[in-house]
Amino acid sequence: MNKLLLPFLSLLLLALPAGARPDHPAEYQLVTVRVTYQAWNEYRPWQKAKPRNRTCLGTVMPGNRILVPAAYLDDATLIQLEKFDRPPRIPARIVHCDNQVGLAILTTDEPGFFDNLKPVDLAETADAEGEDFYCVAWKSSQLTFSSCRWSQVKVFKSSVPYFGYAGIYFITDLKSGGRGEPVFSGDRMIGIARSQSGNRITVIPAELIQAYLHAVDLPEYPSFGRLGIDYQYNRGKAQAAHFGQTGAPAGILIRSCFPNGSADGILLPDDILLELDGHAINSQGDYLHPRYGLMGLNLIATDGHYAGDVLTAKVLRNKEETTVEVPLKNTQPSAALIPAARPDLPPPYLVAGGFVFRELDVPYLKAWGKDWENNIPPTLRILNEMRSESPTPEQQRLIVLTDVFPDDYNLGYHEMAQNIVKSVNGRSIDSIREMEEAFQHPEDGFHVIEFLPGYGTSKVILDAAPFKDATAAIMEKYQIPTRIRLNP
Amino acid sequence: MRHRIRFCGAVLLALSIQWTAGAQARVEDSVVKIMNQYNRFSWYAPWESGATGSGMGSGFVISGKRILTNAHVVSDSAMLLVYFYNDPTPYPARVAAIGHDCDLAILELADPSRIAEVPELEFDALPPLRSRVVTYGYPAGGKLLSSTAGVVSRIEVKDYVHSGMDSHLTVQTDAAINPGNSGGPVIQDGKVVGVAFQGNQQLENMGFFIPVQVVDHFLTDLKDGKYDGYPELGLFAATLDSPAARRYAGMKEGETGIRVEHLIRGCGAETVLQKDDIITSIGGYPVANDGTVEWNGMRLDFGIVADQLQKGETLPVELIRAKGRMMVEIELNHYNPLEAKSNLYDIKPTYFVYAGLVFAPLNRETIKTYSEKWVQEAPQELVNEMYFRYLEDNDFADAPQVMVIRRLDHEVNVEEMLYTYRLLDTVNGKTVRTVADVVEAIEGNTADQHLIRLQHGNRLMVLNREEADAVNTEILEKYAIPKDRNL
Repeated sequence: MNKLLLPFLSLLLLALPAGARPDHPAEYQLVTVRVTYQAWNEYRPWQKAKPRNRTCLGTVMPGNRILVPAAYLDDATLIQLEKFDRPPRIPARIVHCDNQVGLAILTTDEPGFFDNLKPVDLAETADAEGEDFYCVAWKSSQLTFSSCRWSQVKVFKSSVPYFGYAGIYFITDLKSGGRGEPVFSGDRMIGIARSQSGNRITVIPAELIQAYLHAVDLPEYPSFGRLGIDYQYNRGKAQAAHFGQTGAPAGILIRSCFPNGSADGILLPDDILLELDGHAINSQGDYLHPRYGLMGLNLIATDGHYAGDVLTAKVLRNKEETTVEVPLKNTQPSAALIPAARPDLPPPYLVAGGFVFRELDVPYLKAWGKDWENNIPPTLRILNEMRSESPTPEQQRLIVLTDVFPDDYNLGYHEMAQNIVKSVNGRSIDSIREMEEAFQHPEDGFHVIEFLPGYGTSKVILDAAPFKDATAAIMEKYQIPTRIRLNP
Repeated sequence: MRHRIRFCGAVLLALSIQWTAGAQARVEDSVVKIMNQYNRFSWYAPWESGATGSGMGSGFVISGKRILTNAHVVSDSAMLLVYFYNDPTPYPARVAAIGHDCDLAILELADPSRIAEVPELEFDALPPLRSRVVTYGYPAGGKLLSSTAGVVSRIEVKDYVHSGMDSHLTVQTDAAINPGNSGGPVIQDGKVVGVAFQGNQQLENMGFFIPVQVVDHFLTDLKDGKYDGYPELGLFAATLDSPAARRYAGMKEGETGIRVEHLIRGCGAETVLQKDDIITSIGGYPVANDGTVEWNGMRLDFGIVADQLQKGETLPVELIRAKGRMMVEIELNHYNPLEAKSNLYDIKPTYFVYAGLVFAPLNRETIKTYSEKWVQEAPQELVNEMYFRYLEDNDFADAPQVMVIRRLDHEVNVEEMLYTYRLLDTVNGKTVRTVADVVEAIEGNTADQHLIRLQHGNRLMVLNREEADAVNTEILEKYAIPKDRNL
């Protein structure tokens, strides 16, 4: 649902010099969050990249908590808070973080920190507070107000494909924002900005924040659900007729369900999903959201629901309508064959005879730069496009050879890289842990590593007897401090 | 290191080329300019007339009063004109034979009388490194003959860009080779040592010519009146620089070779070799652990040996299998699926238009219609199918594939889910791998709907058969499509 701007209040706000409203409540609701972070070096997974700093804004919530966009806490090594955008900087710690909905809570143990701060008044829903939207940021120790015009609500993807949650586009004159700036209507916060592109910010709406805060206060955080279906539209009359529909086509055609996901084994390929949680699904996979208008159906799983809730689905199956129950499950990125994210976890790896193996994930692929999808080697691109969401019981993860540290011991293999491991000493491999175990069982005095066909040889032969010593010597030579890191 | 596909052929040079005896003539008298008025059909709109234009190249007269030039000079020709030295008269010609895999072609004049007195150039052998050569031709479309001198700077197996899938022996020279030089002779001591054919924009003052070994292979292939092309060894092998790998393979001290990693189904090697065989010699040439053989005083990739043979010839291979020594013979044959993976020329595209859906075969030309960066941007199932599976999957039998590349919007199709650039699996329950299969499955269907299932993602396309039949002609007329098919 689009809302029109009432521009005059915003213009009035803009006309005021920055800092001219020290009495605005936001002065006591908004803190600066300075984060020192250090990402893992994806090529050299035992070491980290250069430390860097970033700054976002945190909004004071009841209970001495500070709400921030989760992405700003990725790989954090030090988090500090500043009141009024001025020193002193106070150490903070993460109370809770949910990367899937992009929200996190900080606090500090510094006595008295919250004494002269006031929790923000959070609206129940983003759209309920009129139309005079503006956002607030600290800039150069002064509060800065920027007008915001409601543009559009969209369902966004998270770090888990098909995990949908609502975000609101606002057109704004804010510059370099999208860093957690609260968006207000009057004195009530209706969301926080999570990103900015040009003059458009994307805002996490109040209802999702409310749901997140509520979940955090539960005895056990339930996480949000993911429907986990792949579908195609059902717009055409011919397709609809084929599945037994008469009249106007409705619903969507289920093509597959994510293995072990919410709908796996419940919704079936060639089902037409007609209704979910009481919402009629149209032929393009949208439903009528009570406040936002037509939204993608993946939003149903997160809008007012948590993992563990059961959604009722009406489907057309074998030309007959039937009702099924879909128990919502949360799906972590690690459930994918090639995980799209690895939130705050270092990459598992193994150094063996100078060969560096690690688990294949999208953070590794992103090491090819901004245009990584085009720049990665073709075999990895094919795997990522065709199989990233398709783990099997036998293959939960792919192991990639990233590099070979040259040594006499591994002569003949120095140019190898980006090969996917198939087996070690005859044992199929889908984790670093399995690799480590397989190297304990050489074949007739040799370690035999087989790769999926790709670049270079698909079979590496190493002498087993000197393997341990050679690995240690190579690690010493190249200053590799640790031989292995397993998944937690 | 893996060894890519090799296209072999050729009998030894001295045995196959008919040398022209006689007094030395001036080279320039034998060099011709070729104007190609081309017509290149569109694979995206295959019913259209195609793009027309003209291109210039060079050629030269060889034995039998034939004109030798590059395939890329005369590809897609609608009209060919040949100009002789100091003669402004255009002489119509035709392509008598063309080898896109080696970028060579033979032209014949419509009226052979003009060529009767033109001296035929003789061939020599592979020129030594650092020896001096002169290129002749008509670069940049100039009217007058140009010649440039340089030295032979490198001889190696390189990619031939015309087909995009082949690599053969190539000679690099610093004699300038520019557009228009293509097809011209490279001369040493009055004899031909190669045919100028391609440059490299990343290298300054460097051009490449096709050596006589490749020319000879082409001419020998043509002796039976048709060009078969280079056969395919169909073998991928790993180097054995690793001492551990050699011991694991049971090789004795001093033995060298390479390990068979993959055999392409349908090629000659598949019938006699096995995965993990160690090839110690090929065609009598001992194979080093790095996969090279000593050939004409140079160390070149072992594929150079097969590259000298013609389709149907056999290649003796010594190998170690399960630690025992043996010899086998590989009969070389042509790998038919390779053509679809190459740049295609001189072809009227295959297609079928039904209910606004344009069905086309999967080949390099149709996949190129996706975008300029098709390797990265096209659905990867196509890239995988075309360029990886046959090299990686031992059980994969390379076969034609068919897809929908366009939808011509009409009420009958515009609301239906239609997927372009995706591999079709079945149409109306029948497996389809060619456009002809699609035609048969569509036209033989009497059910209410046409059901088109795709190979990946469980995607489905449905059309109402009666409605589609009823509007098919209307769509063809609306989109100015004169014929609904070219099979």
